[in-house]
Amino acid sequence: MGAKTLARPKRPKQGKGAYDIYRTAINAAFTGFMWLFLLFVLFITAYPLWYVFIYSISDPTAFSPTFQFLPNGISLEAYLRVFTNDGFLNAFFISVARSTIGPIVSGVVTMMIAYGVSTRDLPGRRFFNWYFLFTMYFSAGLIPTFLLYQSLGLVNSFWVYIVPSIVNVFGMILMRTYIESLPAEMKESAYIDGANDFTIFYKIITPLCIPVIAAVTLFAAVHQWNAYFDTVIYNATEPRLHPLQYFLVQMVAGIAGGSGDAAAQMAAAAAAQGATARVSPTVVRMAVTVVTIVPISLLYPFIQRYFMKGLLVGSVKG
Amino acid sequence: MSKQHLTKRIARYKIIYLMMLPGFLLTLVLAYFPMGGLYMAFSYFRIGRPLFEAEFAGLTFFRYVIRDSTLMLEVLRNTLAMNILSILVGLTVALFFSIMLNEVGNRHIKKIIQSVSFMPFFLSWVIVYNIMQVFLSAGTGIINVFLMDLGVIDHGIMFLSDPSLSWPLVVLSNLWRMLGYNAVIFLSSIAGIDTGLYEAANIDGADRLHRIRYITLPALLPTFQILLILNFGWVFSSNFEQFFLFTNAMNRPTMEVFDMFIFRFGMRQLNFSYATAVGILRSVAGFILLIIVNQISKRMEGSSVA
Repeated sequence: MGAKTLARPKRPKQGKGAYDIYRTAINAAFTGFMWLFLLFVLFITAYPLWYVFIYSISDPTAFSPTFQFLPNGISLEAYLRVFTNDGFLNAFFISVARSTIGPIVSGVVTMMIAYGVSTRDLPGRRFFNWYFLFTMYFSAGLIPTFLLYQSLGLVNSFWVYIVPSIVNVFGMILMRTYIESLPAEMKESAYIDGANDFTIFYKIITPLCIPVIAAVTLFAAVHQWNAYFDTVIYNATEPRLHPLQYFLVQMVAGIAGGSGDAAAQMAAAAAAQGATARVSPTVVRMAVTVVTIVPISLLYPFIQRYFMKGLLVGSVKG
Repeated sequence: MSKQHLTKRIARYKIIYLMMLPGFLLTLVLAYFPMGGLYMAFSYFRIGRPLFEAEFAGLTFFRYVIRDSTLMLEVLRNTLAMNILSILVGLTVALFFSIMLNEVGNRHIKKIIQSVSFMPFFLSWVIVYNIMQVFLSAGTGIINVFLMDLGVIDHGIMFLSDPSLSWPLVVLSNLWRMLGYNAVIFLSSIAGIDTGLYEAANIDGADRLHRIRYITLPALLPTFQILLILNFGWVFSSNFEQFFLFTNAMNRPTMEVFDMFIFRFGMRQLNFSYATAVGILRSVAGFILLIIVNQISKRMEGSSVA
């Protein structure tokens, strides 16, 4: 595969003609450009995250925003302020709750649908398949959905984070494809042994589908962790239901009366307690950002492994 | 088994139907039920009164949409331009990025670059925008500070609110976030190329650029084509979570997309019928486009998205 393993044999006919010199030169130029480009990609993705981190642990009085690679005067005061702030702790709890309850409930319900639509001679199979797929392509839109959720009591409620995401159509496609790729004989022999459909689903199919279930639930968990759209629409006026992402939105977008003020308050409270406890609202914001990224980074190795598998099952292969 | 009577076959699968029931009912209530609410685009609907009692308005609100055609065309232009540019730039850069990554001999270095470049895909738009503020804001953004220190500019560039910078801002932030994701698909296509081709090329004296030009690139073009077509199916849609943060009072003329327009008129100004009419027009256009795209990809590949 690699260029190193296979030595390039010399062409027997000619010696080092002008063409060879030209090829060597443009290949060297390309290789140089390639490494520059790859290092640039590495830098432009890694540096912003690193910068946010060093900003969050810097002493704000010593820190002036410029390009730099190391923090100025380490201070963990911002994190102390953040982790003793009720609004933040509540938001963190809401985020954890929605990213665990949501994917679990959704995984079970979606897997059962996927098993149904992958059962080859189920009467109405095509109908059910399209019944779910259609909702991916066509939705009622923002306002009719809002009014329905309101009449169902989902507005200003935690359950608006969970209930609408239970049926995961994209997850269903991945799971269905995976189940269909399993050998059919396993199901048939289980039938002969007298197992019913639920036993087969629970005891045979589900254990075999662990990789795809992991991919779908991990992806759903990331999605839940990152979401704030539903809070904007349904729960904006209910601060105790704000997840971490919305807590951060308020700081970033400076929405009055929200946690943008919380950042200023945390900074003011720190300032009132003496010179050793210095934090600025921006440092508080950076600390919240870091705390928001950490859970994703911890799960990242698993996400990457399973997500790539899932992505490749569901997408085109060349 | 298929010769049995339908009722018998249905009875045979009753457990499966029961297993599908929760999902079926949830979809019925949460996805199909509100579609009845689309009627509000054809009626003078007011909040607090049942929809079926609202007076019929016919196509009045659709006429309003056409009356506001300059505004609508602006929103349509923004949505299409930003999506199409994002798709073209995103896929092209990802194509070349994955080809270059494939040329890296050291497996560990390759793995590190790939993992790092894939990371932004899993970050929320809030975090992305937050980072953008730190780097790009007019007063304290470090890129502006850096340029001012160099004396290149006198005042900070308003990267985040200058209307003429809206499209590059969206295209480049999408590129940053999606590069690793798109590269995964291209890299898996590269992994599917017969290594014998490279060996044969090496024996014939091909150098790195020859191999890329005559083997890797042609092998990736069908994938590129398919991804291009599939992505075009979504050019009418936009990510609310991205544009809720990106759109502000200053850059609205070049930044506002359908989702934000509907949000502004519907949820903020409570112009429900009008906003829903806009939503219907957008959905219908998007749905037709998706069907066309799906047909094309079916014909090209023999399999479809669905």
